[in-house]
Amino acid sequence: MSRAGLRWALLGLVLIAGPALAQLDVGKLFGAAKKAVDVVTTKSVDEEREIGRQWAATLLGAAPLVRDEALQQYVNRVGLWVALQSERPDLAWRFGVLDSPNVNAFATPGGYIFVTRGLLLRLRNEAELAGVLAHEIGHVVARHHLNAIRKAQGLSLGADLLSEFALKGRGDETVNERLLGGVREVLTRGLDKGDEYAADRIGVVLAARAGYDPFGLPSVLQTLQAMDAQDSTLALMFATHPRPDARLDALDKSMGTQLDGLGTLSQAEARFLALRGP
Amino acid sequence: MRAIGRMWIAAGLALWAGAAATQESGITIRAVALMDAPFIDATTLVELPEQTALTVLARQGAWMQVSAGEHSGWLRLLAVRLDGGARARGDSGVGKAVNVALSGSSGTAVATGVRGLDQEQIATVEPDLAAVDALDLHASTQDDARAFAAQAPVLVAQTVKELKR
Repeated sequence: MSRAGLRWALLGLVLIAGPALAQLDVGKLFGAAKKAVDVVTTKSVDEEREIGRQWAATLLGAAPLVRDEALQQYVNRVGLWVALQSERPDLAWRFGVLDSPNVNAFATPGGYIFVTRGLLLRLRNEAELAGVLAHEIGHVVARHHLNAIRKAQGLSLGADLLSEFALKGRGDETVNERLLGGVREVLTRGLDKGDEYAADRIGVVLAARAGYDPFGLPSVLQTLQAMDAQDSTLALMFATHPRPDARLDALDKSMGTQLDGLGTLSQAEARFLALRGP
Repeated sequence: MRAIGRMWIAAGLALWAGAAATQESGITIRAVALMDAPFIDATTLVELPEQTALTVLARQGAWMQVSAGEHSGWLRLLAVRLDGGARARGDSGVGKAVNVALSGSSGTAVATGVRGLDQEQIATVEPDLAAVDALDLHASTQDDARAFAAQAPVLVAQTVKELKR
């Protein structure tokens, strides 16, 4: 075959393959959504952060921060030290104690983490606080919110998942309304139940990596399990999470004796009680 | 009004302190060995059957120190469920009233229903973006967090593998 002939033949192949390639791309986008989430570009981190800001604003609109500088700074130190043990140490992590009697904790995309005063009052020591924060950090690191927003809003998957519901049309009321609606829906409906179990496993591991007693989170779940399920301060948390005893059973199976042989592990009870107050 | 609020707070603190001083009790959810020390290879004192009532004395890693009838020793923390008793008592109607009083004292407008972390409230609250920016005031830096971990009680970073489902 002549050179020119070969060129024509190749062009023909490309033309035939073209539509097939296009189909393959679409299939890839829909089938490998998880992969798309894993590809973190600077742009998508910025967008994730912006979504997180809206989300955090909704929570802070619902309950302001407790006015206690020392306490807020303390929770930020514990939280960031735990987050540094995760796969996303460089996020601009922000932690806060919300002034609410409700017993709950929240994470938003992009690394905003909140715990309520109601929950803080039921914790026994710093290892339990670290366990709660580590569970929330787990949601952020594993990007569980994307999952939930997609479900809530029925958004289609694209290569740039975040831009689907992000602020391309910033200032565009309908886009922002839709985003806020999605945020509210996920806040009140909760994340995927399987993702809650996953965050428990990540939480236990991150707390242990940070040098805390990894049984802080299970101890908190025991506390929740012993509370009256009809208590109104628990309503949202119980509506958005699997039952505490189911979470304890799952952790029992996953943890086994695997975390028994670790070195010096701290509960830091005295420091916690001094900063939280009675 | 103020005096009443203060009374509620005082009553709440008394209740809370009472609950905290009360020892936690629980029950075994499966047959479990009571050991003489918090280690896998410690000596088994007695095999406790499922549904054994116990009092919690301490917690250490995977272990809970308890007394159960005439025995006391260590068992696996996750083999225990706590009773509603001591901890749930603060969540009765009285506890709820105390919560409201405390919220009032810290300036949260609970009574108006505009704010709050209940399902219905979240659906209607106004987002507060200025409050998000204010979070930076208390933020920690990586160096600051590492310095915190190096202070007593020292937090020593560990190598820990991911947990499987």
